[in-house]
Order: sequence, then C-alpha cells, then structure tokens
Amino acid sequence: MKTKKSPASLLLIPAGIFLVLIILISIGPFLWVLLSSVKTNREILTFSFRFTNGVHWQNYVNAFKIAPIVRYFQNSVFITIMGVLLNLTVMSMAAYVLSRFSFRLRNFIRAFFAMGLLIPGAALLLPLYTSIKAVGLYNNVWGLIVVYTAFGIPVSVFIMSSYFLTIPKEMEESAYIDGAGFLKTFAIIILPLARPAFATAGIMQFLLCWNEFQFALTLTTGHDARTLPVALYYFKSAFASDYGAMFAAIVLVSLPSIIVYSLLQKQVVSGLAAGSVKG
Amino acid sequence: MTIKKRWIVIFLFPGILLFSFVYLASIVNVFGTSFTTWRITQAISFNGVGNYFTLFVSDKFQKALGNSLIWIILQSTVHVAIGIVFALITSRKKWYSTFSKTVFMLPNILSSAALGMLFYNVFNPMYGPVNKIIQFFGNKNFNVNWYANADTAFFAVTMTWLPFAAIIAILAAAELAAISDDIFEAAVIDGASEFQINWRIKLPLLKNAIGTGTILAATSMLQKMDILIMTSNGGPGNQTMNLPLLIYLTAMQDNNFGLANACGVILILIGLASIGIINKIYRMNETV
Amino acid sequence: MKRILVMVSILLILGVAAGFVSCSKKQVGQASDGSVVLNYPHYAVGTHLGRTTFEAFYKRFTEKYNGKITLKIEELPSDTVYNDKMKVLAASKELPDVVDGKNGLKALAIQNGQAVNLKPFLDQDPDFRDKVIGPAALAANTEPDGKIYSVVSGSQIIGYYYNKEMFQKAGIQPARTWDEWFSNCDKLKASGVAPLALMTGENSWTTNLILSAMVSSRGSAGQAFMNTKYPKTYQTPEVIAALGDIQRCLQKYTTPDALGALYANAANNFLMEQAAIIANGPWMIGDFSNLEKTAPGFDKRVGWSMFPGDGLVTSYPEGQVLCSPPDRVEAGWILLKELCSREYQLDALRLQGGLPTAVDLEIPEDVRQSMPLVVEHANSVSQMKYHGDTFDVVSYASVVDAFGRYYPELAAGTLTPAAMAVRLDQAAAAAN
Repeated sequence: MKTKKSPASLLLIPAGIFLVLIILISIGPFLWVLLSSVKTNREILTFSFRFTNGVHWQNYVNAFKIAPIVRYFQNSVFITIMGVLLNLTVMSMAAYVLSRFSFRLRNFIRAFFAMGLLIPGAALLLPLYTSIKAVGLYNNVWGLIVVYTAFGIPVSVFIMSSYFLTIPKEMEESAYIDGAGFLKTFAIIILPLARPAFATAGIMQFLLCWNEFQFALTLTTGHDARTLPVALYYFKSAFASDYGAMFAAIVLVSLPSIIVYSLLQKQVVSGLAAGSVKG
Repeated sequence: MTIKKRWIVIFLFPGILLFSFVYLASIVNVFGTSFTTWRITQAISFNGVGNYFTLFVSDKFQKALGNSLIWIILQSTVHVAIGIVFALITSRKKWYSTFSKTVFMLPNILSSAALGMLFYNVFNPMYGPVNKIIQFFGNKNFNVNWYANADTAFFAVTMTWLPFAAIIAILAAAELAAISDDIFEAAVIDGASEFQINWRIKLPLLKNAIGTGTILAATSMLQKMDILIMTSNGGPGNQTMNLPLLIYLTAMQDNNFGLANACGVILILIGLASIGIINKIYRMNETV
Repeated sequence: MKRILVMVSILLILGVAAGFVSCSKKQVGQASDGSVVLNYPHYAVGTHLGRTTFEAFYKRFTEKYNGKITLKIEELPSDTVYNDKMKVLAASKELPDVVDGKNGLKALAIQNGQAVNLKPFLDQDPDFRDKVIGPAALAANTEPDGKIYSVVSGSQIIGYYYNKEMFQKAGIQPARTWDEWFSNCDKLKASGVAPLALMTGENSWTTNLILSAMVSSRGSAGQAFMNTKYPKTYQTPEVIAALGDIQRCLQKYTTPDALGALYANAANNFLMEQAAIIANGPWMIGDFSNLEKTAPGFDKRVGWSMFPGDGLVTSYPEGQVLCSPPDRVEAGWILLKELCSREYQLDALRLQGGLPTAVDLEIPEDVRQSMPLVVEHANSVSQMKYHGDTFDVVSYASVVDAFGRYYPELAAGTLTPAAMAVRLDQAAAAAN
C-alpha cells in the first residue's frame, strides 16, 4: 500500500504541466483580444503582444459609434433571459419523462430530439424564414426566442436526462409513498437535486442565445430585434478595417458571458450540497 | 398508471411542439428536396438519387466527408479525454480550481466569429505569436503559413477546437459534484491512491457525463463552419473542407439547394450513426 | 429552491423590463401618412467606406420626399451578410424594392421574375439616361435583347499604387512591359522589400486585379476574355499563361503571409511599407493619410501607375436593380434614380474616391486638391491601350472562391497553371 503513494504524487507533475498548458492556450487568445482592443490598427497588425503608443481607449468610443451596441445589448439581454428560462422549463420536463419512464415511442422521441444536433444551419435558413413569417414573428424578439429555445432542445435534453439518470429512484418512490403526486415529486424532489444540470444546460443555452448570428440576422430586419453578434459584423466591411474597434466590440460582447459563466459555475460546484442530501 | 401517462404526455408536449415548429418542416424539406433538382429561384423537379450520385463522384465531397469523419473521431476521443482529465484535476477544491475552470471556458464563450478572427491572427506568418514564439525559442528562419500550407492547414484548423473541452469539463464537474464525498473518504481510509480513486471510482461514476459529452463533442463537428470560413476557408484546395462548409458553399454560393440538402441528409445520417454508436458504447439508454 | 425562485423572478423582471424598452420604441417612426413604403436594405454601415455617402443621401431623400415616400432601411453589415440575406429573400420572391445586383444577385432577381426592365423608364428620362448614367455605363448593363435590368452610377478605374521611395532605392520606374515588371520585382526584392502586396483570402482581390491585367494585355483574345461575362472556359492560352505569371509572383515576389491573407493584411503590408506595390482602386487613397493605419507623410510617398503597356482594370459593376411590385414601381424608380443622382455621385467621389458616371460632372477643385491621385485616375482613361473587367464581375462567385482556394496549391507547385484552369472550369460548372 505504501509503495503506491509515490507514483500518485509523481502524477502531480504531468497534471501540473497539463493544467498550465491548457490555461496558457485558453487565456492567450483572450488576452490577445483584450490587448488589441486598446491598440491602434497599425499596432495590431504589426506585432501581437507589444505596446508602443500607450493605451488607445478611443477604440471603445469608436465601437459605440460604429455599431448600435446599446440597442442590440438590450435585445440580447431580453432574448437570452427568455430563451434560457423557456428552454430550461420545457426541457427539464421532457428530459425527466424521457429518462425516468419507459413508454412506447420513447426512443423515437429521443432520436427525434437528437436530430436537432445534426441539421445543418444552411438547410434551416429558408424553411425557418418561411415559418416564422407565417406565424407573424418575423422581426420580433419572440421569433428569435422561440427559435433559440428550440435550438437548445437537443443539448438540454442530453445534459438533463444524463443527470436525471444519476439520481436514485428511491427518492421519488419514497415521495410517492408519502402521497406526493407526479407534479409535486418533480417540483420538490427532482428539481432541487438537479441544480448542477440546470446550471450546465443553462450555460450552454445562454451561450447559444448570446452568440447566435445567422438567424438573428435572417429573421429580423431592424434594430428592434437584432442581437449583439450582428453588431460585430458592422466592423467587417470590405476595403475597410477597424480592427481596434472590432476587438473592443468583441470584449464588450464577451464580458457578460464571462460574468454569467462565473456566476453559474458556482451553481455547478454547489451541487455538492445537493449531493450530500442524497448520500 | 393512466394518471402517470397523462403526465408523461403533458411533460413532453411543449418540447415536441416547439421542436416540431422549428425543425420538422426543415427536416422534411431537407429529405424531400435532396431528391430534386432545386436551384434558388428556379422550379423544383424530381431527379431521384442524382444529387447523391453527383456528390459521391465529387472529390470535394469525398475530402469533406473524410475530414468530417476524422474530426468526429478526434473530437470524441482526444477532446473528451482532455475535458475529463481537466475535470478530475480541478475537481479537488484547490486555490487554482475556480480560476482554471473560468479560464478554460474563455474560448467557448467568445462567439465563433470572434474566435475565428482571433485564430487567424494568432497563426499569421508575419506577425502572429505562434511563429514569433517558435522563432524565439529555436529556428530563427522558421516561417510557416499555417492555414495556407497543405501540410499544416489540417493541424492548424484542428487546434482551433480540439483542446478547448470546457463543455466536457463542466458536464463532468456537475456530475462529480453530485457524488457524495463519503465515497472518497472511505477510499482514502482504505489506502487508495489518488490515481486509483480517479481511475477506479470517479471515472466509472462519470459514465453518463462522458457519454453525453462525447455525443455533444462528436456532433459539434457536424456544425463547425464559422471558424473554418474565417481561418482556412476549407483550403488550400479542399484540404480542410468539411461537410457543413460544403453545404453552405453549395447552397449560398452555387445556389444549388437540392445538392446542398442531399449533402445535409448524409450529414444527418452520419450524426445519427455516431450517436447510436456512442450510445452503444456507453450504454446510455438504460434507466437506473 | 427559494434562492432559485428569487433568481428566476429577478431575471423575469429584468427581462420584462428590457422587453418593455424594446417595444416602447417600436411605434416611433412608423409612417401613417399614407405615403408609399419602400424597403431598402443596404450594407453601407459600420466601417463601410460608403457609410457617410449613404447617410447624406438618406437625409436628402427623406427631406425631399417627406409624406410621399417612406424608406424602410435595413442595415446588413458586410457584403457576405447582405448576399446571404438577399438569397433567402430571392428564394421566396421577396427581394426588396431596390437591390445591389453584384455577386450574382441581379441574375437571381431576373430569374425569379422580380427584376423590372428599366428600358421604358430610362427612355422617358433622357437627361438621366444620357447625362447622369451615360452611354458607356448603360451599355455595360444592357442585355443582348436590349432590356436593361440595372443601372450603375460609379465606375471603377484601377491600376496600382507604388511606394516611390522604394522604387527610387531599387532604381526603377513603373514598368512599361511585363518583362520590365518582373525585372522591377527582382530589383525590389534585391533591395530588401517584398515587391507585391498580394492576398488569396476573401475574393483574392489584389491578386486578381493583376491577373486581370495580365490576361487582358495578351492580345485581342485576352482582352475579349476579360470583358465577357461568365466565360465558357478558363482553359484558354491567355488565362493559362497569365496564371503562370501569377504563380511566379506568388512564389517569388510577395510577402510571406500573402497566401490566405485578407484584404486588410495586404493593404496593411503596403501601408506599413513592407511591400512596394498594391493593385487597388481609388477608394484606398484616403487610407494613405490615415494615421491609424500608416505613418505620417506616407501619402507623399505613394505614386500611381497603369499596368504595363498602359492597361487598366475598368469596371461598371451591376449597380441597382429595381424589384418593386407594379403598385409601387413608380416610387421604386424614384428611389433608384436618387441612388444614382449627381449629388450621390459627387458625395461618393468626395467621401470615398468613387469615380462618377455622369458625363457633365467635373471633378471639383477641392477634390483635385485633396486627392490628386483621383485626377490621375480620371485622366488616364484617354491613354489606355487595353482594359479588362474584374474577375468579381466577370466570374461566378464560385469561381472567385476557387481562385483563393487553389492559389496556395499553384504557389506550392502542386498545381500547374493548366490544372488550375481546369479547377476554375469545374467551379463554374457547379454554379450552373
């Protein structure tokens, strides 16, 4: 037994190297964007990690001038919040049923949902444009909310049902014995236990709603319903390049995601508390 | 039992409704028109398996198919392994855990347009840091145009997604967090080494997370397009072409919706097959 | 559980509040005065060079037609975004009233039956037809059967810019023959700079301009090729020989990042004085004195020249296509005319170096002073010996894409010029 201790600590070295490498390649690009967002065009296009003319905050001012960032930010917040809430509500219910009960069509419905992961975006463009127009949600924030809620279905189903599978069945059975109904069992027993799953699926759904571009553009016509990723393309015109302002915009668009992720990440970890309940 | 059945229907209904609204028309459309000659703005006419035949004799398609398969395999093995190892290392609450987890997520947070732009510049042969760093540490004359060189393009494109397995790590972390600490404490008391705990206890408990993660990782390769457009655009030649990019180019550049949808059907079939295989391997369909 | 409920309700309140803000603005600006509403999506937004020109136009238009025509503007940032959206609209026959016909959009508008034949409108308005647009620009967009589906109000006259200081150091003058062009490149290279700012990303713009000149300078066959839309084959002796020349340029005379480079990279290499020559149009002139992009005094070091043998790349792009349904076609025509007006052309010239088509429009004194290179462009036409169009206008979008896709292999020597021409033909076939 004692001899096994030393290889265990030997493991620390490769683990450390692995971690450092991962951190470097993950943070490197972002730092590059951050630095570039306060450099002039010329500095960006000459060398990537060097500063010459001091901090160029003007880029951020330009970013707001070039693209309707504030307006699109409001839309993004609304669409994302609604998209996440709607998706989590609908899909936690579906995933619960799919992972807990066996019934005819179960595998069919599961495969049906999974197909969403596989439909190429280019194939969706035209049919979705037609159907969203038909129901009168064209150029409407609710059109995008509905579409994003549906886009998130496959991922949320996978995450949630895989998590529901790890919750022991005894918990519900005892609830049923205590006389709780189906809905009550779901709301009071399952939902609190599934917090990490909600946080994980929530992060994924958040990123989808916050970053999606092609449909935000195709299903809208004006400032009333467009989201932030569309604003990024205001910096990509032919024969013109304002990289500085573009990177400033990228930072502005990414910051909320980073903040939300940091907050939700705590929820993932705090699943520990839930774990001890069931242990 | 009937009450339960009613609840099952009620719980599934909103999801199915939403999904059908957004996807069903498209799925039918993709399958149906894949057997037709359909160019944007022109009348549709049935042409049987003509599109599929055109695809399979095209070297562009063969390359795209091959690349997509290689990327699916890489993503469901190396990428998943990186995520799981990362989750295991950071699962013990150390001072660096939260920090590393947040940092690891950064590339996944940036929108793909931003990320593509970024990698394009990072690998730029004139001013990109990659070449500068290699020049600094070794060969002064080192100069590779990563995305335009036939020998390096595939590698450089792969590097834009292969290491960034934060989603896998989150999935695993969520499930690790749900495991009671008692199990580990008992194992430690029994004299188990850290490696044994990871290998014998944690990994088997992560089966569902790994399975889910593998499916998400594999299928993400069937959607990757923006980054590709921004970095190599599938080139040089068709060295880094994949199916989603081929579909986009066929639809939006050649205006050939019929052919694009035939390609889409193949992509969907590959995806379903991958999900089936992964499900088999991890036996994910079983209820506890 | 409680905490989650609290969080959810806070989020809901936030969301509804944001939604309220979104909706409250919706009512403003909605025309209820009985005026004709026209849809006009455009891409002159954000960092686009035409942004100021468009803003001036919009102000002018809304004042002039207040109560008669209401413009519903949709901003589509970047060309790709514009193209993709127009294709979705074209597929469902919902193209807006006026469309920019470039990148094959005009053909789609004709195919789906939305494009309006402008011939009758033009014939009723001789001043606009003969003076504002002019016979040359009109001829460029006239179909074989005499119909006219688009009108353009600006022309592209393209040669190349060069760094006078670098030329002096290498002891050379702008080349008069292609042999001299290559010996110039050798001398520039020997003096320690990259001769050409080439790029093969995006639409291979700066590279293909030189290729166009190389093709059209090769006798009447070459010139005919470069002035014919959608050529039947690229496997002609002229194209293959020109591809061989370009292969040489890509292999020996350009920057290390040229393969796969974007326009911004090539432009920057020239602006940062790392390359001596860039082929591009007069809209670049403004950048020569933009201190965010280049060093002070750079504009004084830039010269302009025609291609060897007095050649130019000249182009009348497709321009504006009218797609209005019959009930508002009159209003649509007014919009199209205003988008081509003398005022618009003058703004485009002043603000972005765009050369006007109007035959009676003199280049104003202030432009002569601020952008002397523009005058050189305009004057060069009379000395021009040969000219070709751009590949962007002549070729299908899939062929333009194929250029960028196969240039790296051409440069690496794994693809011969003849084999590349075969690939271009394949790409053209795919678009048919």
